[in-house]
Amino acid sequence: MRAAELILRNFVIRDSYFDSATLMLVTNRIAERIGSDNVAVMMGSATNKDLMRDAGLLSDEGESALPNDLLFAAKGEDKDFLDELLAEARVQLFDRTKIRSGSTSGSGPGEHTSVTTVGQAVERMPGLNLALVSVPGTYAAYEARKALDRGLHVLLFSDNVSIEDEVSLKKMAVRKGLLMMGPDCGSAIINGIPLAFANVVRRGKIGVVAAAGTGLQEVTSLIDQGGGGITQAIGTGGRDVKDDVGAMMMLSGIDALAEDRSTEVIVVVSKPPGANSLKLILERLSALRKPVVTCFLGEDRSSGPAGESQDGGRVCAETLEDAARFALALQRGENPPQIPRTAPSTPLSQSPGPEGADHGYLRGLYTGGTLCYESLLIARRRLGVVYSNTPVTPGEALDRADMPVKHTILDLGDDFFTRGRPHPMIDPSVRNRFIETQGADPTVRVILLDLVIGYGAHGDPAGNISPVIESALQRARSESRSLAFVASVCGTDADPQGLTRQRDELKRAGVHVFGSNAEAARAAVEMISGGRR
Amino acid sequence: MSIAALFQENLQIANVGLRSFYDELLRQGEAEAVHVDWKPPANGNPELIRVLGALMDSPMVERTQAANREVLDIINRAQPVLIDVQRFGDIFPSCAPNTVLHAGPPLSWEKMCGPLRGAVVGALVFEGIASDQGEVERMAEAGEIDFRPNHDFDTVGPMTGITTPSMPVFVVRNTTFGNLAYCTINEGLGKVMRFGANDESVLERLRWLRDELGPSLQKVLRAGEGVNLKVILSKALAMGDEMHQRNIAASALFARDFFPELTRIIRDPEVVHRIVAFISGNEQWFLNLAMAAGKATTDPARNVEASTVVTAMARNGTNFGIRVSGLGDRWFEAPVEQPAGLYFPGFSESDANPDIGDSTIVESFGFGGMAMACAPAVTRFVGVEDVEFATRTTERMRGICVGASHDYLIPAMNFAGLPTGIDICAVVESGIRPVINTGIAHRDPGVGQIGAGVVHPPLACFEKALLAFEQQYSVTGDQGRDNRGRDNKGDVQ
Repeated sequence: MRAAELILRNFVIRDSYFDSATLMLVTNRIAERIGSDNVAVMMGSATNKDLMRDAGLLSDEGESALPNDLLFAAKGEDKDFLDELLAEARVQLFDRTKIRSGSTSGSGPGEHTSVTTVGQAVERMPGLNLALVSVPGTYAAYEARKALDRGLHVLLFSDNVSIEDEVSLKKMAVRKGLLMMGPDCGSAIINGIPLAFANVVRRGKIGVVAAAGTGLQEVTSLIDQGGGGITQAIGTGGRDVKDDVGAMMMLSGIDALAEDRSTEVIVVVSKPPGANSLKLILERLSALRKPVVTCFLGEDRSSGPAGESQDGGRVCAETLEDAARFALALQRGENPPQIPRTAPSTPLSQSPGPEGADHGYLRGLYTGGTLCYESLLIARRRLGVVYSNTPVTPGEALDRADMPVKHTILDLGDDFFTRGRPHPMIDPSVRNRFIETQGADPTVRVILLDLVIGYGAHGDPAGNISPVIESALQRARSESRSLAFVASVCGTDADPQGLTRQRDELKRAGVHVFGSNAEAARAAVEMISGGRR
Repeated sequence: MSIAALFQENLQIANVGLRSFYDELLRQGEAEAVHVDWKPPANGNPELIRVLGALMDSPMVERTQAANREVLDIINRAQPVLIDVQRFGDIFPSCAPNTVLHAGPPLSWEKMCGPLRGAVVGALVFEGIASDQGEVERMAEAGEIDFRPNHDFDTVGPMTGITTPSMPVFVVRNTTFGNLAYCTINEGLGKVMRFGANDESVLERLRWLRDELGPSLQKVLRAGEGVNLKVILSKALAMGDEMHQRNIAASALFARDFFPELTRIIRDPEVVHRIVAFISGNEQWFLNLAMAAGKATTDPARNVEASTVVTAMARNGTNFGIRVSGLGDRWFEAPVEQPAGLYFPGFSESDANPDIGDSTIVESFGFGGMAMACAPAVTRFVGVEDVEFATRTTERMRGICVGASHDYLIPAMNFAGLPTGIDICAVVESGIRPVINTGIAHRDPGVGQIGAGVVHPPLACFEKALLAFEQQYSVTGDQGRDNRGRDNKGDVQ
């Protein structure tokens, strides 16, 4: 374009002051419309007029503008278009409602900004006392440390945190008198509030400390179902009871429950602790005046009936179900029921167990790690070798985690299955696929399941799984195979999904539903071994 | 002890991570919860996360927190008062005539941007050291000019920030701590030296500042008790200024306070008229006073051992530099960024000079972009229509500051204090950088201001400072605890 072809338009509105920011914004919009910089909307000050003159944007009319006059200028080829633009600029400036349209009313300052760090959260909510941390493992220790630094108790849901970080976090927590639940702590109930994966459990007088996520859920749910309630359920993360960590949080939790006046009975749940940790825990427990139930799943106790008080007054439970039962009894002031203890499992080398295909195989498909482990312990006692991706002994490890053989119980919540996928408690589809393949396997006789409900879990797991089960059962019938589904539901009627509703739905689909995981596991094993013992 | 105490409290939960956990907490309806809109700290840089973590997990954390509280207290207790105007060379008689002070961290001639070179040329011609551009260039290349940062002389200057011995400067005294700070007199708008202009009109104005305005201001100020800048700053905040891009109210308040004395002391009506017209005609008149007030306020907060608070931010057109209290007078530098803003007609971003000036001293004590909530009119410089953007900006700045001002209040935010004391740890962790409201200079010397907008310090300044902090204080994380009490080898001095 040659300058000679351009038309310059100016017009002036007298005594109309706008600040320069507003005017520059309008100028920019108009400049965008015509795709050139040959536009100006400015106050008519000498400085501004100099600028416009230098830019070739000032006509004689513009020259007459005074500092309080609004001066519009545009240069282009089409006179009508320029006038239209200038009219538009005028509308934009004087249409106040349009200018204000971006703002909202009735909301206070600060509500619009999102909180991006724990520090800001503390400023926003000064009464903050707990952080629920579930960020990727690489950053988890950092965020937990920051929360502890701010004096917050922490539930660290994240896994993939190094043991060194766990130790240093827990030392820090102990020093500050704070809870450091986790890493890899999936469940807790504090002051009646279910955190992460947890159930709506009545408040009562039993306090729980658990280094086992679904162990905590099962025990607290069964306490609720048994008519009792809990004070607190503190999760520690599974690694807490290893000797590297030395049960730091288990001990803190026991101390806190010992001190807590509402807590009358204490339940401790975990896989067998390391030798030093166990010693520390037992020492601590023996000094308590409150009755204690311990459930160290798989603990090697070859003598004495379950339920008997030992080791400084603790009552030992072999299963999560027993732990809940004994705690309820102790709270009522009764002695724990004296039930006969099942014989310890026979050494594998001497008795391979009834693996014969004549009765078919057991396949357990679990979403809860502790529940899976409990079932493995129960099943091994009758069936001998039971394979798993989380085996009780190394000899029972599956070659491939996703290829069940003979009697197998899978933990589908294990890393192998959850890498890059949601946990099966949230998204049942992984397990549904296994139900299809296992249900179609003619060597499989019984499929054992857990169904974990409560906060954090899928909204209707029974409704989701039922069609898959029904179709597996139908197929087995059409092939004249005997196939049974055995399950328990971990949860309470106060959970959003409703214990009874979930059980009823499973029953409707043809599942044998039992009151606890231990009971379901025993029943499943019974079906396999057919009472041959 | 405190675990049992938790059992007696109402649970108030920060959810950091999975949004679904927060939704579930809300669904329960019994817990109070706040969701942290989390992203990886320090942009996921493992080294920086390690340092931040180590800092948190070491005995340093208490020292640092206490030191930062002390810095905040020093800033809050400041009382900046304009007491005098003097020729810079009279204040620092040891300053050689070939000394040229400039904005930002130290910089050699070779690395100076166009406007800064333009201003240097103008200043040396003004001082009679050189006769023209060619001579200045020759001298500069021969190393005959002593370039020094303003900050080395308790001084600040806007944009190019050029200060030379015969220029009159405001003298601001922090009466609480007794320290002095200096800043040149604002030249007004249009072609001015601070934007690199150096023609005869620019020099003529400088001569008038030197020969008439400076001495007159001196006479008036010496006759009275000074002008309390803290009072003006507070009032102007309530009148819509943030004291960086907008000084309209503050300039008017200054005039209201000052003119009665001026007309009493200066008897020549022609002189009075020129001065009154000059001050009244410049909406940014107060900027240089706000800057001197900022320098006077933050200087006593320097060198507080173990503090992670920024005491100065400044740009020389090439690099952005910050100073951190616990790290002494070192500058932590990174290349400056280009401001984003609105341009005068005929100019665009391609004409703009990179970020320049000591004026970021105002952000260093809570004003400017940090105080956006006080100046909704300024939000339009960033092309935003939404006035609540201003509130959000200040609210966001709160997240990177150690505290709030006691005296500089934001009426529209229930009189909350300005966010004060920028913490390098918070900046590195959150990736949120201070917001700076700035003028934009043309990249060629002599053209002047072509727009205004918003700019940020590069994150690298804060990251470098954090790494230096770790080194200086031997932050050792968990292991360091065992040495508590005798591990003082990292201390300053």
